[in-house]
Amino acid sequence: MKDFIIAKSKAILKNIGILLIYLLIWQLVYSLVQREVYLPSPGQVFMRLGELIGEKSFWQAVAMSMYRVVWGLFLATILGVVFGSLAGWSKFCYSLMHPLVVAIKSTPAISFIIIALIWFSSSNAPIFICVLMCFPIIWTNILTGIQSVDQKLLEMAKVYRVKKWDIMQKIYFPSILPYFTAAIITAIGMGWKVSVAAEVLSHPRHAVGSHLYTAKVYLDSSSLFAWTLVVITLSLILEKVLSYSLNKFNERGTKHAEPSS
Amino acid sequence: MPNLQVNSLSKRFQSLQVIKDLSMGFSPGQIHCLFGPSGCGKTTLLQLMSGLLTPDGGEIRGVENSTFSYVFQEDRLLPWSTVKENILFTLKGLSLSTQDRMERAEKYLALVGLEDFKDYYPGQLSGGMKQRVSIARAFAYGGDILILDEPFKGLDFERKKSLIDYILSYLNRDLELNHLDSSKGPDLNKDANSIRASDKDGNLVLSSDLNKKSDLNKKRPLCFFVTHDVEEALYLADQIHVFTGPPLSLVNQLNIIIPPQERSREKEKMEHYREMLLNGKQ
Repeated sequence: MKDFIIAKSKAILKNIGILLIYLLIWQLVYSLVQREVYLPSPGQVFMRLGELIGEKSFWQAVAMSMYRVVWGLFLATILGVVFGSLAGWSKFCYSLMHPLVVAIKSTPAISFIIIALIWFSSSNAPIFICVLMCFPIIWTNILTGIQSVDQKLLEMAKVYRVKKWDIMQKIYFPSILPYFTAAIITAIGMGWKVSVAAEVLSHPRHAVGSHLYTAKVYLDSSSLFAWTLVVITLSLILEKVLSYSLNKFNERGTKHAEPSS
Repeated sequence: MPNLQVNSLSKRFQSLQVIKDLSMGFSPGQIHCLFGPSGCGKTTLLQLMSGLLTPDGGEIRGVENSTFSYVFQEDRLLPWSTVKENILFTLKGLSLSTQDRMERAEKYLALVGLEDFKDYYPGQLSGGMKQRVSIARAFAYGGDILILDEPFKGLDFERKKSLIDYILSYLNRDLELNHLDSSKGPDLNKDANSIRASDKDGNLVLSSDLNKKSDLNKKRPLCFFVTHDVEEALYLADQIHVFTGPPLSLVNQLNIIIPPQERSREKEKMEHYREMLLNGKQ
């Protein structure tokens, strides 16, 4: 345990070091450009960020944007898992859904954003966009996970007459889990990007995207950078929280399998 | 257990006719070796038998209500489950209490000498150890028919020999238990002793009294064993069925009446069988 903590703190120190290197490069480029509208200095951006954190509207915007992304991801996950499993289970379902998923994947996000602005309220449009953009990722990975299940293990289970539910639990779930985790991680990044973009266009009352829009109107680059940093941070936090809980779930799954005697 | 009868069986994979109009019988309670070159269709026959494949034509009688213990060419262990969980996975379908399942799993892991590795994951074991887990899984499940599909592939001679001994002691242990003491529950140490006892005076049970032997055979699981290795076949089998193919066809059948325990002593007779087997092969 002690070794583990030491290794962990070493890793954190290394990450801080890497972060400092990038800040240094940023500062250097700023000194070369010398124009704050093109590139504000790290100092200015962090000053602005400090100011923002003190404001009530900052926290309202963060909470609402987070709320939208989480809802969008949640719905996309449910839909992706259900329809991905259906596609993995039946050839016909796959043939039915595949063209739709390909179409969604290759449609520019902006086309959906515009139609969503017409269909939904300004606050809900980003949720819809998030669902639409994340669904294909989850769907594809669940399908690939199902297809990658080792046929030889399934044959083994069949010969030994293992029950369907046990096959699901001990062969399908563990095979699909890595694909599912990867899909969620990718979807979080994608979800933040598209829902903030949707917010910029729909500007709801409380939204990170709306603040980005304001920054654009006033050519306020420091605010633009500060809010962008906020989005990156929020995305990372969500990713860490979800991958941590997925790992916990995974561990619990294997522990649970150990019979109590 | 009924006689196992194959009637005009056919199976085709795309353009390859693997089995064509095959008819043959297998007597109960014996170790049958399916001997022949790689790719001649032996595995296909076993897969048809165990219901993993369905025949294009014909039928296999006498397997309808049987359970199977199958040792595949590969170990086929769940990589995310420990050795013990892997064995328990196949025992879940049996009507046993949790306690009984745990005991069975541990007992057969001990039989293949892996009791200290029960909490290891397959990835942490060597190829030979994984194959032993796969054999322990088959033993613990205790199917009516034991199928071993080239279980010793890629293993060295010593490992192979000890695995064959595990299999023989598994098959003979059931016989010994039924014969000697069916009222008492199986005890691990006692089992080990009775295996040794059967090695010494196994000929008393096995060869001196043929009637008793056939009686006991009924209680012993039917065993199928695939190989293209002459030594393996001669060491383990009661009956050797020599095949060529595809399409799979029977070219020769040998009955080895010497019990496996005595084969290392009966060198001359075994040499005779070896010649018969090698000539049949050509």
